[in-house]
Amino acid sequence: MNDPGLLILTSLSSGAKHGHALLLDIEDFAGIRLGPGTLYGAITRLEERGLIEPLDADDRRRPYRLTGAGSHALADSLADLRRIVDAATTRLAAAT
Amino acid sequence: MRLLLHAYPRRWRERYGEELLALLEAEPVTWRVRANVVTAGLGERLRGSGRPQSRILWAWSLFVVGGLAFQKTSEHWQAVVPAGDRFVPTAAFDVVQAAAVVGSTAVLVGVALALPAFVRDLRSGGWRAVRRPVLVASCATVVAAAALLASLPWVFVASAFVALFAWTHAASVAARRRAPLRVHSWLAAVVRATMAVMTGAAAVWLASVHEHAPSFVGAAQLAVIATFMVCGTAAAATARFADR
Repeated sequence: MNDPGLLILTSLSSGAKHGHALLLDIEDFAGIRLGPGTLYGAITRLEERGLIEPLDADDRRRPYRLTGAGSHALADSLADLRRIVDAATTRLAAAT
Repeated sequence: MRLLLHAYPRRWRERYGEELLALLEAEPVTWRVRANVVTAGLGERLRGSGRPQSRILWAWSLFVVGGLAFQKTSEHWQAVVPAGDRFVPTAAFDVVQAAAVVGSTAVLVGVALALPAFVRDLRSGGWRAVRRPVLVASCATVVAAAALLASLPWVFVASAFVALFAWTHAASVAARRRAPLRVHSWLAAVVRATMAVMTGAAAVWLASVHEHAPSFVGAAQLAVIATFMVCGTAAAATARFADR
């Protein structure tokens, strides 16, 4: 649930953002404050995997956006999470 | 704050450095943030940033020459050191041997892990790139084996060193064609550490044996051991920090 890559993909699903905007958005919707090193480590990995792509830099800040592969990867991750949430909800209900 | 970026490899800094710096300038930089950036930067270095680890192979090969010279020089050293004074040289010698086993194992594991990708590369046309170095290395190996069978020690030694460096060259050519696995960065770190440990322990052993038998280690042997061990360790350190 606090995987930086998944959080970044989720944030970019509402539009392109640069590093600082990503940090603020992730803190807003997930309540998690990523460290700058953690954020850029995850951006590096996502870009290497072709899940996000850089846009032209605005001054020194470079926005990123989701690619087609990134959208598919996010949808797959959400489906996996949904299965886990459903299983946990069912089992918790049965236990109580 | 720019100083913090030096935790990252140069190639990474060139790509993301200004963006990260802009982000840091927009945020309060606490000690926790500094630690996060430095830790992430060192993590990128360990990942190797896609840089081939072929220089480590060359460093190890250089070091092997010094190690073999050390092994040969140290034969029967107990005969010249009184039994009561053998604790320090024995401990130093054991450290050299243990580090040699660890370092050699790390190199062999690295080669074994790279083999599947190497075989795939050969099947998809990579043989043309490595054919020449592999043929030269194979020829040198055959000459070394023949010299050993014919009891020609100097020819054997010379051709064995040629074979060692020729195989290293072949392995480097193959390594440059593939991005290293993450585990290769860790194995390279182990190899670097073992070289430094062996160099230090060998120096202790040489000093303690020299104290009791100044003529046991000749100047030429000492020169070969010191030159190749120090050059190998320095080459490995250069490979580690060349990306800075």
